[in-house]
Parts: sequence; C-alpha cells; structure tokens
Amino acid sequence: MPCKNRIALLSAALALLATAVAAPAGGARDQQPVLGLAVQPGGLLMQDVKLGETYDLQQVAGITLAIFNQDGQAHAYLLSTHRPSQSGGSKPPPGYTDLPDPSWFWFERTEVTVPAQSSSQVRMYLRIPDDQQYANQRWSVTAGVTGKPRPDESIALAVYPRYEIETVALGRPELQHKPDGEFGLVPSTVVLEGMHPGDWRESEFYICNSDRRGRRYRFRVVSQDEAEGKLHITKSPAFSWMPDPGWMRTREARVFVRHNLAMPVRFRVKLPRSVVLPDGGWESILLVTRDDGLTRFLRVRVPSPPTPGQEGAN
Amino acid sequence: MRRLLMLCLVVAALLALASSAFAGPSAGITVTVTLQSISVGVSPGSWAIGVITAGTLATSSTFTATNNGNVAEDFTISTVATSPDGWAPGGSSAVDQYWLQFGTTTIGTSPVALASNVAASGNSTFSLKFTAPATGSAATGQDSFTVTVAAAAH
Repeated sequence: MPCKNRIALLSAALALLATAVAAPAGGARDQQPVLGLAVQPGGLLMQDVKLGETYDLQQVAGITLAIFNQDGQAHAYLLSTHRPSQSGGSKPPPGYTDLPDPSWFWFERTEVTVPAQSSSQVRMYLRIPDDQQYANQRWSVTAGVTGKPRPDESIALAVYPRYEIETVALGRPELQHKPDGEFGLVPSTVVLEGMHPGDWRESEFYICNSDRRGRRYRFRVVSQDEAEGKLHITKSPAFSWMPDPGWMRTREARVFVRHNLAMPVRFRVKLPRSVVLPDGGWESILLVTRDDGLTRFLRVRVPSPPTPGQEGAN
Repeated sequence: MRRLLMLCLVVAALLALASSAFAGPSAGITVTVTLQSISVGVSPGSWAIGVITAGTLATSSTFTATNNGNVAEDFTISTVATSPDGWAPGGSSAVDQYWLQFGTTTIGTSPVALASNVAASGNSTFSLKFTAPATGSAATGQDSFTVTVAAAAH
C-alpha cells in the first residue's frame, strides 16, 4: 500500500495494534505462547522484629525473593510494596493489619529483568522505626511483582505475595506509649517458662483501647485446625500447637474497656499430668474480638523445660 | 523440555527455601517461610486487535488464566495504556479514551476481580472487549495498551 494511502487510512480509522505484529483488519491474531510468572516465597512470617534494626533477610535467614519467568522471552518486572487493603493482593488474615508504611519493607532494586525460562533473586529488607508504639504489632505487607508494560506486549502478569510481620513483644512496664492502632494487646506474646505436666499457671495481658469510645471484647482459644485453616495463622517455629484449646481459658469470657484505657485480662493454662511436652514446647492462640469484629490475637507459649543436662549450661 | 527444566528450577528453589524455613532466630528475628508458590499463567500470551474504526468494538478470543501455584488464588485484571498518543482507559469510548471490558465489567487502571478462589492447577477463562477511542482521538497509526492479569493467595 502506498505510503500516502496508508496515512489516509490511519487518519480515517484509529489503528490499534496491541502487538508489534500487524494483523489483518478486523482480525485477531492471538495464538501466542503461554505467559507464566511465579515467585518464592509465596508467604513469609517474620517474628520478634526489633525496633530500629535493619534486617537483610538473606543475611539473617538466607531468604531472597525468587522471580521465575516461565515464558519464552525476557521480561522486566517492577518490584514494589503495598498496604494489603489497598492493593490487588489478598487482605490481611484476622489479627493482622496493614503495615503502616509499606516502605518499611523494601527490595534491593525496584526493577529486575529476568531472562526467558529463568529466574532472578532479589534481596529483601525490613526496618521498623525505633518507636515504642510499634512494639507488639502484627502487620501484613503485600509485595508486588508486576510485569513492566511495554508497547509490544498486550498481556502482562503480576503476582502479589503477602508477608506477615510481628514486632517484638514488650510488657507494659517496658512501654511508655500505647500501641499504634485503635486496639492492641500488651504484650502480644506471653511465655510461660518452666511449666511441667500437671502444672497450672496464671498470667495476664492488657487490652489497650485507643478507639474513640468504649468497646466490648470477647475471648476464644482456637484449635489448630481453625488457626491453620480459616484464620491462616502460622505457628511459631520450634513450637507445636497446644493439642487441646481447653487447657487455656480466660477468667472472663468478655470485658468492656473504656476508651483510651488499658485493662488487664487474666488467663490460666493447666497442663494435664499425662502429657509429654514436645521438643520446643507448645503454642496456643487466644483470639480477642472487638464488638465490631476487629480481631487481634495473643500467642501463649509453653516452652519445654530444659533437660537436666541443659539447666546449668548457661 | 524447557518447561521441565523450569519446573525443576522451581522445585529446587522450594527445597532450598524449605531448608531455610526455620532459619531463625538470628539477630533476634525469626523467619518462617510458608511453602506457598504464587504463580499465574495466561494463554494466549498476546492479543493483536488489528485495524479497527474509531469507536467500534473488537472482541478477543478466549483467554485462559491458570493457577500454577500450590494454593488457591484470586485473579485480578487491570489495564494501562502504553500508546504514544495519551489514550487512557475509561468507562466508555470517548476522545482519547478506550473502553476495555470482560463481560460487563469495565477494566481500568485499578485491579478488578477476574476470578476468586481458583484452586491450584485450576483455571479461569475470559474474553476481552475493546471499544476504540472515538473519532477525533490522537492517533499516530499504531497504539497499544497492556492488560495485566495478577494473582494473589486467596
């Protein structure tokens, strides 16, 4: 077609070619190879995160973000982090809220090109500001790995793995500020040291109500099935799930906490005589649900007592 | 063969991650890797619309989005214009504005749900409808946009 005619045609009809390959007018030429993208890890739980410390996850745990380009040409991917509630990723599981500032979790690069049928590794970093209000927090952040749009690519892929972050658990005497957010538990994890089969122990945590009005809260110890299934709560490494939720109970089934106040909640753990603590010990989850459904949870750990040979080691 | 090699690569990475899953505590932090693979594939991998008249509709053949991961996933879809003429997606065809849909759902720059709770190895099919910008739009002869299909754990 002569050039002048071609220009005339294009001015009369908007020409849209979604790929660099010209297709017959009105026709679709879309029998192209399959696109594929995968990332690892798809899920991550970072616990006991200290305030003000910068963590290189490769250095502290040997973990990098691996991006797998599963199709026949190289692709550039944009790397970003987002609040789960504001991204295309999945929402935080019960008990977790958005990381207040997604830039606290970042990648060593914001863009990476992965060759065809290959993978690339990218370092991940985490730093929570050194501010006591950020202790005892459980947050989620979404990592975005998005195919960089190019004029010659009509279809791009993206994946949004979600990662969970739990900051260091500090007790009330150690804190001068209330926790960030409208509802917090202090400490967020209680460790009951030195328990043996047949023992019982009482302990407490505080509910901090920073909402504008008083709120009611109810308590429930969840089973392993519920924690891992519906609630998507990952147990802490080295611990096993406490076999029976009935071994733990709060003194009250529910409490009312006035606004801007903290209230202690006492609970008791009783171990049957006949049990044997597993290596590491047990962990249980106490769900605290506000009257509007907002949820936090307390981790309660019963570590195995040291064996006689280990007791004097330190 | 290449797919097999790629599969081996993914499995090797999973095993490497598994061995480091309970690597903590180190420097006070404990890191647990859940052995989830978030992965998505789309076939066909492109859509060439061809030459169409301003304001008219083009419909794609069927796309298949596949959950290649090992957990249930939700798929979303969004679009961004990569054209040189400043076109933008919108809820109708207008000057310098194209209209992209699947079914009756308009696709814009913010992700919208494409499929929910797609099981591992499961898939979801969809077709796209493109209405070209209206007469009077800027056009240099070839314009393009990108449709992004995204996956997240359900």
